Amino acid sequence: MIHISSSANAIGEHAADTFMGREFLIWLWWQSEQGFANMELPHYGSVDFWIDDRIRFSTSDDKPQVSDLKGGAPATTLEARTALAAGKTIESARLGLRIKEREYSLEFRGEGLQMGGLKVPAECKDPGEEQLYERMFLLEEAWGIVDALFVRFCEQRLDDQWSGRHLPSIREWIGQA
Amino acid sequence: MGANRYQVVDPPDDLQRDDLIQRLNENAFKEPFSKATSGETLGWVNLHNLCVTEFSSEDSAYSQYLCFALRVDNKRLPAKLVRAELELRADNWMKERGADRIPSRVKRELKEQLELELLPQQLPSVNAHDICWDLANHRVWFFSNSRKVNESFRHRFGQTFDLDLVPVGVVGAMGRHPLVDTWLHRLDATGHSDYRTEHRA
Repeated sequence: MIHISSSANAIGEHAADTFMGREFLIWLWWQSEQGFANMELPHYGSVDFWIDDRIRFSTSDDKPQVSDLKGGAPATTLEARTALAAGKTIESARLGLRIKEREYSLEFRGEGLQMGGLKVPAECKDPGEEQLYERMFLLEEAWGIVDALFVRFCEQRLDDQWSGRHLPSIREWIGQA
Repeated sequence: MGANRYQVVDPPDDLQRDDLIQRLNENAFKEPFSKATSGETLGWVNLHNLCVTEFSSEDSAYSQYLCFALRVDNKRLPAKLVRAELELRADNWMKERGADRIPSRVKRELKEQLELELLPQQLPSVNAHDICWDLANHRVWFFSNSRKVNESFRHRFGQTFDLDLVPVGVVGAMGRHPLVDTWLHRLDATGHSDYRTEHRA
């Protein structure tokens, strides 16, 4: 474990914003290959999740080395797992989420927990109030699921057993490449 | 769509919707004073039409949401065109005077004159980024992932409403989990993990 000093505002920006999101993506990928890529989440119930068709790795130094894997299922490639083994972390990844009949696709950037390129299963075509409510419902659902997954990650990552139990399991999985 | 989430810092207990709408009207997008002005112009516009700069409850307030957009206009002349036109004018100036050089002061004046002529003919690039402010939960959604535009948005939002925004990062995403205080304490003492397979803590 590498320690840095950090401090939190009452809400919002924290020094851990720079690495917790990147580690969350590694954990999510690892989890997606452990339990049939499905999790029971509070409030949402059964949710499927997977790393979709893009992963961008980088080192965290001043002149980052970048590996951008696109198309197909990059998470299944030897190249992807090798990037982790070499010490790169995930800068961003396209995630897939499925809850009931609704499927979302989004580009998640680890640093600052940003979401981009969100594709939602919108049905309302008429611009106006109904479309706005639908859009906000879908946006909040997609973000809510990501938040709930993130909380699951925190339950392990900030647990006493992280270094002794969870981290070695993830390293072992990475080493299987 | 790309979206960023913000939390309002220390929101007052009594946010008045009418007051917020009045502030939107006072800080609405305004066309630059002169058509020969270059650079960026920004301000609030209606969610449904970026040419509408008047706000009312009817078209901005939906349940607990206050919705509007940030319009960002940017007017720039095509650099290659300006360079080519300027070269012709400089050549003409030298021919008329039988000179083989043009003083830099004169060249600067020619360029300013050229920009004054061309800018009124040039339309700006126009963008509008939607905003949805959840007044009940004090969260603001801003539909752009551009770092520069997000900075402009936070600045403009602060100027307009006298409220600061912070991105919903790791701490915000933890939400109201019962262990959040313990986690924050641990987060302050933790650093990133090393996932390299050859590494052993």
